[in-house]
Parts: sequence; structure tokens; C-alpha cells
Amino acid sequence: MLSKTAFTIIYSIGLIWFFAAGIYTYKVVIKDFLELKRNK
Amino acid sequence: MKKSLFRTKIKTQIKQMQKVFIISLFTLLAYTKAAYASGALELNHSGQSTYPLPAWGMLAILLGLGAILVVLVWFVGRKKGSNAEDFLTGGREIGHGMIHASVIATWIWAATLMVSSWTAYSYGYIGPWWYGLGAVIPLPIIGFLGKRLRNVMPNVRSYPEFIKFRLDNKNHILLTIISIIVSSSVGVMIVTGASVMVTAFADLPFWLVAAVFLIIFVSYTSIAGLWASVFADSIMTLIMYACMGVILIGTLILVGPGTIYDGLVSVIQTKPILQPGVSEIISANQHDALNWLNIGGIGFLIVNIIGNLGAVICNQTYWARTIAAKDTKTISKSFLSAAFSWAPIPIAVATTLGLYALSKMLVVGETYSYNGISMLFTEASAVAPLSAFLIMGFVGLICFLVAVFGASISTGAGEIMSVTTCIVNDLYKGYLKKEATDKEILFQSKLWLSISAMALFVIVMFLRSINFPFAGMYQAMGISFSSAVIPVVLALIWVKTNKNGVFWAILVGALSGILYWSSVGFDMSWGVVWSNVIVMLVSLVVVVVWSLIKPENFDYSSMKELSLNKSMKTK
Repeated sequence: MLSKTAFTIIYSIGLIWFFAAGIYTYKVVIKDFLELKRNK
Repeated sequence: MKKSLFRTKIKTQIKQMQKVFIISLFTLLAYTKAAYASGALELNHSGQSTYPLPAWGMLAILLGLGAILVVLVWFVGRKKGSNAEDFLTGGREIGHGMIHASVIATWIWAATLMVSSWTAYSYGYIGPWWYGLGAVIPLPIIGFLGKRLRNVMPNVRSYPEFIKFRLDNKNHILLTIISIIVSSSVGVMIVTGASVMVTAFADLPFWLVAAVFLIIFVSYTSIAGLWASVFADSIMTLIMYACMGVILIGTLILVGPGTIYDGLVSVIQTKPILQPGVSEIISANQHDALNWLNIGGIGFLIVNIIGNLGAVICNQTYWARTIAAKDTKTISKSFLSAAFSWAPIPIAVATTLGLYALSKMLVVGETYSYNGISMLFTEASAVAPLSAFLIMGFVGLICFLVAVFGASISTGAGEIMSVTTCIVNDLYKGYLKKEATDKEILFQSKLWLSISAMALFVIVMFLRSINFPFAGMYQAMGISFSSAVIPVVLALIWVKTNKNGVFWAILVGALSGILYWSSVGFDMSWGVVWSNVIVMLVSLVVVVVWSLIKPENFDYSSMKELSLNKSMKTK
């Protein structure tokens, strides 16, 4: 059975990964949108 | 100089948006925390079922999202689909950011959020990891294949079109039909799933909700075709990340992993029956919630990988994103980054919402309430919205619903666009009217978007009227169409691949899987797992052995200028 510490670490990895992915996605999408605006 | 000014401007705007996002997030959390403190900490069994949201509120969310997309697509991209080539290919000049976000959006189905949470509720903490890591595998694979496709046939509009020139007409028609069936099936599942969810939370008729979803799909894709679909996907992805982010941070603050862990330990010790009437195996998996070798979860992983390979590689929706990308470098970069960014969505969301429900020992069929508003736990797969509601009240529920709407709209629109491309480009232009002009193809594309939506509506309503069991539909789709995965891949990368080998591998592979599945009474546990394995192995053996006995020596460089649309210029 998984220990409480291991569970908390695994839970945290999921959250950190999610927010890292979210920040990256916001960054690249906004960059593309601004480029669209510039090329219009 | 101009470039550096542009970069500075981008950085400033991103920083401003981050500030707005952080302020909004904390405002929402402050409100939620106050509501939570005011008495929703205990889960009450109220014994009565009500709709937590008013019908007008639900319709306002849905129509509001649709209206935002139509207006934005109209203002930004109404000129993007002015000819058939651009309408069906997105102009082949879309950048990394939008392709990245579009792949995420089209691969997040309502099921990604609902079923992944169900895996956490059913298999414990390892369920979401098997779901996320299993389902993400097709994305880098199709990124690699899409890059190869664009290299060997730069003018291609659909993957069946490649098959026509690489193999022959019979394979082309077979794979066009498979692609249409796969896209339509996904569309039906998306519309049905989203409509069922809406009608569970608001007193709205099923037919109205299904019709509204389909009207939204068609309304913005009709303006600019594939480009509109990719653009709307990008907006939806941003909205989905924001909504899910609110729920994840809210749960972290209001509940926390420690509380969830303690609840799971109680489940293991007390072994409660949380799904009355289900088999002992399912209950045993739930009572093994902190074991990474949960056997039910491993079986799910195998079905998940094979079924999803079929759902992606036999589906024009994902190939369309590789065709819309501005160059081959963008394809591989975008699909890899999309895989990296997609996987944590089911992992984080399901770990949070599914495990919360399991740790609180929520029982299917019971009614729970938050601040006096009741909600019925209808079925295990509806665990995610219930948890979001019980943790954060209306903020959680609305955030979850908006995310599911975003997932449903982006995937649904992509699937309808895919059906249209296969019908117009591969069947109409390929066989019915080979000399069709650009204007005629554009007209047919817009016409078939509407016809496809109407056909989907009829199918959805028919299946609903006969209470079609959707639980097995995805598995059935995996068994029926995953046999095309290996033959299609080999046709793209192996010069010896034999056209008859591909054709019979697809048919014999599917037939073997279906026969085995029927021989075990369409068993939904290990019967499904072995059927999926058989489909893949049989198709692999047939195509490889046939191609080794009668090898072709295909020259891929001969495809550089080929296309169903002869007038098209190479980009």
C-alpha cells in the first residue's frame, strides 16, 4: 500500500505537471493569436 | 528591431493576462471558500433529487460559448475559408501554438474528464495515470506519421486520399468509410454524452440540447472550415485549462491530498459497497485504491492504448491537424508538446475529483447536497461533476460544465469537419464528380457540414430512443477499427507494403476480434482486452506476411505532385 508521503508526492506531480502544461499552452497560443493580429 | 519590439509586446501582453488570471482565480477561490465554510463541509443525504442549475442558466452558458466562437471566428477568420483548398486544409499555414492547442482540445473528449475520474473512483490512484499515459500514446505517433505524410505527399487533404495513390481504390473506399464511421461514432458519443450531462443538471429536453450542440458545431465551421475549427479549439483549450485550474487549486486548498489519502485508507479498511448491484471484481478494485498493481487498471490500460490508436489513426480529425500545420517541423513539435500538455489533464483532474468521491465513500444512487442544493449520483461515470459540486458548489460545477462543453464543442466540430472532408474530397471529388471546380467543392463542403449535423442528430435521437448502451460503444469501435492501424502505418513507411495485404489485414483483423468478443458473450472486462490484442496481432501478421511473400517496391517520391485536386499548387 502506498504511504501518505508517496501519495502526496504523486498527487503533487500531477498538479505541477498540469499547471506547467497550462502555462506553456497559454504562452504559445497567445503568441500565435498576436501574430494573427499582426498579420491581419 | 521590429522583431524585438514584437517580442516585448508579446511578453507584456502575456504578463498582463497572467495578472488578470491570477486575480480572477483568487476572487473565485475567496468566494468558494466562504461558501464552503458556510456549511457544505458535511455531505448530507437529502433523499430528494433536484436539478442544481436552472434551465435558462444552462442554456445561457451553452449559447454564450457558441456565440463567442461564432463572433470571434467571423471577425478574425472569415476570409480564411474563401476557397475549397483553404476550407478543407486550413490554408496549411497554422502555427505551433494553435496546432498544439487544437490537438489538446480535440483529444479531450467529455470522456477524458468523465471517464478518467471514473477510473480513479473504480481503480484508485493508479487509474488516472493508466488513463492519461495510455491515451496519450497515439499523439506523438500521429505527429510522426503526419510529418511523413506531408513529406511524401505535400498536397494531400485527407489520409484516405494518400491511401488512394499509395495503394488502390478499394483500400481508399474502405478507409474513407472507416474514417467516416469513426468520426461519426465519436460525434454521436460526444453529442449524446454532453446532452445527457446537461439534462442531468438542468430541466431541459434532450433533443433541444443535442440540437444546440450540433448547431454550434456547424455555425462556426461553416464560416472558415478547418481553420475555424482549429482557432475555436485554441480558445476552448485556454478556457478548459482555466476552469480545471480553478477546480484543482480549490480542491487543494479546501480538501488537500492528506484528507483524500485518509479517506482512501478508510475505504481499504471498511470495504464499503459503493456501487450496489455491480460485480464483486469492481468492488474489489475499489477496495484496492492505493495499489499501483491494481489488476483491473492494467486491463483498462491495454484497452485504452489499442482502442485509442484506432480512434486517432483511423480518424481524419487528427490527420487534418497535421495537414493544417504550416510546415513539417511544426507538426512534430506541436504533437509532442500536445502530448506533454494533454496527459496531465486527466491525471490531475481525475486524481482530484475521482479520488475525492472514493475517499468520501460516495454511493451510486444516493443523493448528496451542497448548501441545501441536492444532486443525484446517477452513475459511476458521473462522479466528476458531483465531486466538483460537493467541493466547490456552483463555482466547481459551472467550471466543470464549461470545460466539458469546451471539450465537446471542439471535438464535435472537428469530427463533423472530418466527415465532411472525407465525403467531399474523397468520395465526391474522387469518384462522383472528378471535374468538380473549386467553387463546387466549397459549396458541397458547406452543404455537407449541415447534412452531417442533421444525420448525426437523427442517429443520436434514434439511439437515445432505443436506450443504446453507450458503455460498450467505444470498446466496440476499438475492436472493429483498430485493425486498420498497423496496415495504414506500414503503407506510409514501408515500401514493400502490399495493397491486398492491407485490405485483407483490415477485414480479417476486425472479424477475428469481433468473433472472439462474441464467443465470450461480449464480456466487458478481460474479453474486451483480449479482443483488442487479437485485432492488432492478426492485422499485423496478415499484412506483414502478405507483404513479405508479395512485396511491392513503391517509390514514395512519385507522390510529390499527386492530389485529387489537380489544379492545386504545391506549398
